Amino acid sequence: MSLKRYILKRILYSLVLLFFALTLNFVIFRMAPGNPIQVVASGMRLEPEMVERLIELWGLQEPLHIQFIRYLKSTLTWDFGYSYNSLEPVSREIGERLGNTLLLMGVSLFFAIIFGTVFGIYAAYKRGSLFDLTSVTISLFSYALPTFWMGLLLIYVGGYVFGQFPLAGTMSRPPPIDPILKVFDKAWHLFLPSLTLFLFQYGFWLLMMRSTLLEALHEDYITTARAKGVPERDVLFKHAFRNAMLPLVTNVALQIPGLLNGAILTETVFSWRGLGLYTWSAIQFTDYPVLQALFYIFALVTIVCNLIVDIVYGYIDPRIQF
Amino acid sequence: MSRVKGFWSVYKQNKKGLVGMGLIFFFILFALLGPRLSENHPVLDWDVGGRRVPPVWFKNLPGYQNLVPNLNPVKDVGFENSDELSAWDIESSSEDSFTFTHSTEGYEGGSGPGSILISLDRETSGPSTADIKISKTFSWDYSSPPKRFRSDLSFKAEGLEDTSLNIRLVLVDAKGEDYVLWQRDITSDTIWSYPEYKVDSYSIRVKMIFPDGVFADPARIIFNGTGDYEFYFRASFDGINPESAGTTQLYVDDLNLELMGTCFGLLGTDQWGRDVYSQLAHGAKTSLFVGLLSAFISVSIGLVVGLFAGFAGGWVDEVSMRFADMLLVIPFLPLLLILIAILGQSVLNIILVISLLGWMGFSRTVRSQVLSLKERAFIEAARAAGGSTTHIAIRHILPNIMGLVYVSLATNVPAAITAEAALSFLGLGDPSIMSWGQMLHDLVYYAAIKELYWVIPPGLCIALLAVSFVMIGFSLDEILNPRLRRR
Repeated sequence: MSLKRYILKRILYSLVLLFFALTLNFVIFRMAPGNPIQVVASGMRLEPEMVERLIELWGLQEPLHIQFIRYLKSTLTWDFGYSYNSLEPVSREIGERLGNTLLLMGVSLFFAIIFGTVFGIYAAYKRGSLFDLTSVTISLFSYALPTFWMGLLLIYVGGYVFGQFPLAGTMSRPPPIDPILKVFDKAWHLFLPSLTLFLFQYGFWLLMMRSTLLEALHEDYITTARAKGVPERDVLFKHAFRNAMLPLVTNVALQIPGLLNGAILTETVFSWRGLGLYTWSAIQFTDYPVLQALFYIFALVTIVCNLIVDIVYGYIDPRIQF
Repeated sequence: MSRVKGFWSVYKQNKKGLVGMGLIFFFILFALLGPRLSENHPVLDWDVGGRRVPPVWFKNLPGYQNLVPNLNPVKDVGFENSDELSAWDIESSSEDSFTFTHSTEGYEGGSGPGSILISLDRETSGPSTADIKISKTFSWDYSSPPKRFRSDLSFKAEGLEDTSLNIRLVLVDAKGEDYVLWQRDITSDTIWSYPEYKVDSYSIRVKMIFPDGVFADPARIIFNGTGDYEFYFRASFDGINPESAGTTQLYVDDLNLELMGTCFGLLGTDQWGRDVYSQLAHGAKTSLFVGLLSAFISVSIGLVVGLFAGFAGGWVDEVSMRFADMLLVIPFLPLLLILIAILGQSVLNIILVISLLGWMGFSRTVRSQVLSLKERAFIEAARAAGGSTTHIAIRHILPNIMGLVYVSLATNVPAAITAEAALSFLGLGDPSIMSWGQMLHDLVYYAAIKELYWVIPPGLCIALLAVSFVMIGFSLDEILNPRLRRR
């Protein structure tokens, strides 16, 4: 019963948080200078009727509280209105790009976890060895390397030195017609950006796995297992690693919001047509409907991730007080 | 003092901490002294060398042996005194009718107060034409051409009467071919003047002299091999009327020829011929300034908010922590970008926004620490002894969380540095100040990814500076908060 109440409380709190984030989101963009009409009309002459039509299209004639309510409603219906820049529906534009971002983030996260975990376990096992020292140093450095710079270097190496990889873009132009070639083409374009984002996260996973495992290896049950004569490999994987799984799971959820920052930079460097590049170009054009929608999605992702972590902890960790 | 000594004796055992400290020390030195080693302004001084050329030391690398440094074979001597006339070879068609003197009058916009004064005595000149040539010969030992050349001249003609005058600037290559870079016919007296277009190999007017027109590279065409090159100024007088007694005077000033090489300085130049080394050194200043100041502000905010929330409890706690949560769920980079776009791109705004978005995590840590410290016996004792809340907070709680403050400072600095770099990289940095992120932005904007001498330094510096602060943070954490780290 108490667990249910705890989860309910977390969900309720998440909703409150989401509401506040939305309010902040709304206020920031109303604070922003620049009449949207000026933004759109810059460089072209508009008839007064046309301007009125645009004001109506974005609902700018209405008082602020009505606009706010409409904005709240749009977050439920996912109808975010029209972009100032392209005049296309924002939800459609986001829909076209969401898949690319998920692909990029998913692939890089997957490999970062696999490699980070494996090398992290090995480094913890061989604590103090040369391998441990070098892998920790490399991880620290790759952790601190600016993502965009890493991307530039990879473009240089992959695109110019080897000349095998595309310098930018999501797909060849025109895209291949054969579906199998299409998949290959996408993967070929995906390689460098996902490698960049992989290197952005890899260090974190290695360091995290190494330190949780080191902590676990010092626990009494490991000593017991060793005393019992359990083979070292089983001690490592069956006893220590099992217990280090929880931080692994929760950190996936906690890392995703940070990964978004990395994705924005990576997508911008590689012109990868995803939400990150969309955010960047929306800022260039002060495209407020797009930014509002993107902020909502990002905040939603963050809140949902935090909620998942809370719930997982609620289930697994007996120390959580309800 | 003894505490500092005691801390140092522990700290120097920590290898990570020492390496981090050494690196930071190096960067601080670089930020303070580095900009003084180059006189070039990182943003405003364009064309200090050829545009987008590698550093001078690239000469030692294979494939770059033919790099040409910046040269000034024909110096603008300024003509401040008559001795400076001897720097030039002067030839004339008739020795008797021409006199060359130094004049204290010079073009105000040019260099030095003086000029060469060429006087032609019309009575003695005899024939109706006369000719003078002020020249300088220099040897060109490089097998490849310079990136660009620039030349200048200012002049004034007086007492022409009926005489007409043609003046020209000419470069003669090693094979004896003449290239007239600029010429003008003068039929009446002038005030101080200069060529109507820049005598510059990048100028369209100069390019149009050559058959390829706008596609020509005059520097490449003229400097086509090693040997002796000649640069001269020539004045041809025509229609001299010996009956009208008197002299015709021609003042000449600011004669020079500047060659911009295909390599420059320690780290080459960027798209506009700005000094990359100077940009890197000024970038170090920007990064350290932004990093340290934003970290200081955000840690201070976090400390104050955390202390208040922890101490006051109740609604103060609730409101401040919920506000922190709210800021935490909006993704950092987009929020940073949009706030800078709204507030304007200045370095102070960047510092302000980075620090206003960076305090939340630390305030939570402080709050939880305060909550746990509040229950300790020594605080209760202090309370029982009649200590006020402020007294307890400052005298008892604060010293106990200073360790956290130092660690948080050390980890906040690299976060701020990378945030500023990311902002500038995305084109939202302060355009009047050079920073490492701005350098990377410029080179992407001008598609110069292949220019490694320009790509490597800023990124490496960001990474090294960030790593060094992280290392210090780790070692401080190990030393100051042993309870938090069980290993």
